[in-house]
Amino acid sequence: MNGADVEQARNRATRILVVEDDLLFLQYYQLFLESKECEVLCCSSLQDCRELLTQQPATIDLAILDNQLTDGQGLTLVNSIKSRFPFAAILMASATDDADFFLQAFKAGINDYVIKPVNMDLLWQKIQAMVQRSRLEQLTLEQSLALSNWKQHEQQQQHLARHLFDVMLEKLNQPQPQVLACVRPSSAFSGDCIIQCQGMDGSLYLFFADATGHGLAAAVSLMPMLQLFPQMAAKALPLANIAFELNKRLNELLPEDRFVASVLLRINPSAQTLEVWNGCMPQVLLLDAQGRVKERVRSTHMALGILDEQEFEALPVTLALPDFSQIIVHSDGLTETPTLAGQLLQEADIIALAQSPSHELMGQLNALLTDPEDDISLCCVDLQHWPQTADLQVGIQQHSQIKYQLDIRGQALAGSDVPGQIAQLLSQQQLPINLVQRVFVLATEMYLNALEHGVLRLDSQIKHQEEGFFHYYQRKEQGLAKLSEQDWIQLELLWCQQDKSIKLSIRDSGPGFQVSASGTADQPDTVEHGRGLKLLHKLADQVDIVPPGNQFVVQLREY
Amino acid sequence: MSHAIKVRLPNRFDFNYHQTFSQECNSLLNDQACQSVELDFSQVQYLDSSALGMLVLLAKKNKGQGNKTLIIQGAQNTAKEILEMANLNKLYEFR
Repeated sequence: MNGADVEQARNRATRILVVEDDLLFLQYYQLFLESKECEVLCCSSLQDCRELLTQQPATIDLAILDNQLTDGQGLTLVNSIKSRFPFAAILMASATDDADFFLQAFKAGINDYVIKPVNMDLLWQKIQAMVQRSRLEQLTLEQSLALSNWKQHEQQQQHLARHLFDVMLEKLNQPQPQVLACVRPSSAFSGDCIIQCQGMDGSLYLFFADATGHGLAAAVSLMPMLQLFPQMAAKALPLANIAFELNKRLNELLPEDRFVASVLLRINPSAQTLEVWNGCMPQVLLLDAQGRVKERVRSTHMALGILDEQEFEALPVTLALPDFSQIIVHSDGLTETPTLAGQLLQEADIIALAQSPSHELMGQLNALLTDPEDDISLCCVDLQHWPQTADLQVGIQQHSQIKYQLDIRGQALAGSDVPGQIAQLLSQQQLPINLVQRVFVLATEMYLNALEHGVLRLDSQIKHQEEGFFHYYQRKEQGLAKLSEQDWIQLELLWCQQDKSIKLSIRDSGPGFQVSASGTADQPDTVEHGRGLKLLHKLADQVDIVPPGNQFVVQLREY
Repeated sequence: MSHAIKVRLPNRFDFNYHQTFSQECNSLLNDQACQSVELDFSQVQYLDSSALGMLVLLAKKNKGQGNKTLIIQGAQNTAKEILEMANLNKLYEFR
């Protein structure tokens, strides 16, 4: 029953059933009650009344029963009326004031009685009080039913959401042996969350999040990041890129009063670096081999999901990995929940806790702290027992090769993101991001050179003038609009994992150019253009220009 | 009042970004209150030779009209290698 139904029931006229064998008196009741704006149903015998009840009349609020009817006792109707209208109040009218009879009648289920001759004002007072009470009873029962339905429904939904959340987390989280992680939620859902992932370069990525509030609302705030973080971590992207994207995603999806305090960590054994980004979390503790705090990384950023792209600071703190033996991260719930002894945990207590064996940590927290009002989480990374980088070559199959050939002609040259395609192709093979970036830059330089200087025959010297870039761009647009099938670029990419080699060749329909005119190495660094060829030499192991100068071939070996 | 202004560069800093970049930088060079320009490279993953050209051009213009401190911040991986290779540390302060 919703609010409107309740209101309607309250406003409807009181409906009263009168059973009385004295027809004169029956009419008297009817006139009186109708004058009080009640609806009245009249019956003059038991049989009359039973027939009425089988016809399923609309609900009644109250029944007035005379006990001495021509065909029996009015009291025998109580059960049938109650079973048909459980909320109807029953008023017994009787000529006797025999206490035993009324005791029996109350047991049978009447709510009150009047003695004949009936005082009509008294009767009306009683009717009003009884109807009011019966309607309230009905309302209460209906509300409590609705509430229990709602609760059941809610529990089912929570159960589903919880299941979904747990499955997602389990699928995306890759627990590492060196990481001890413990989350103790304050309710069925946790707004704290720790995700561990391995990057393809062997880096360990850790995302430690504490969303505003707790319970389902907080857990939902974490959802947008649960997938994004592992995807980016798997590609071994720099922490700054990950922080930036997470912030952007949350900004798009969360309402303004919701955000996620976070610590992002990247432990990169091949570069021997440790990156920490702390946005609004308690300080991250870094211990040395003797277990002393050697460094504290305080929060220098705002939580994720607050600042827009321009204001957001994505740069992490970078430290030397060999300087440390242990990292400890915790949420504010850990230091703000009193212990059973009424104290708050200090830094030394937290360091001691972090030394517990992983299977004991939750038990220790439970034994130490009172029931939390906030979610509590603690994470500890052991840096001393780190696998050697050689063990960490993940993903790439030795027997993998790609030969990719492309021939683009005419207008298609204008709309194709060829370098982007090549980078995507290689990054799908889980090649290290550094290598993919190198190939991308090589492909961009070669493709743009082929398009702009080969096919379109633009002169770089234009760029040198004031507003030169603009004019250059204009001419490029004009040239692109006139492309025909005589204009083409052919590309071939060869990647062989076994040889660890990548060869990229790009040839264009242009006439070729003189190498010496473009300069290979010794250009002054203050010239705005003409860096392309120098870049190729820097980034590739070998660069060949095939006469008449319309084909470039670059090779990367032993990457 | 001394005043540093930050310019965030995109994931792909190449010719397509030229218009945005030059508009933004030109207005900064003309801004009297601005004493240093920080180019935030933390998001840059791809950078090509025309980006290098734009950086050199900006430095040249700055010498002529602004004389502000130019800073490159947060460059990583290949982007950093390319910037170093181009000796841009002669024109920009690296952080």
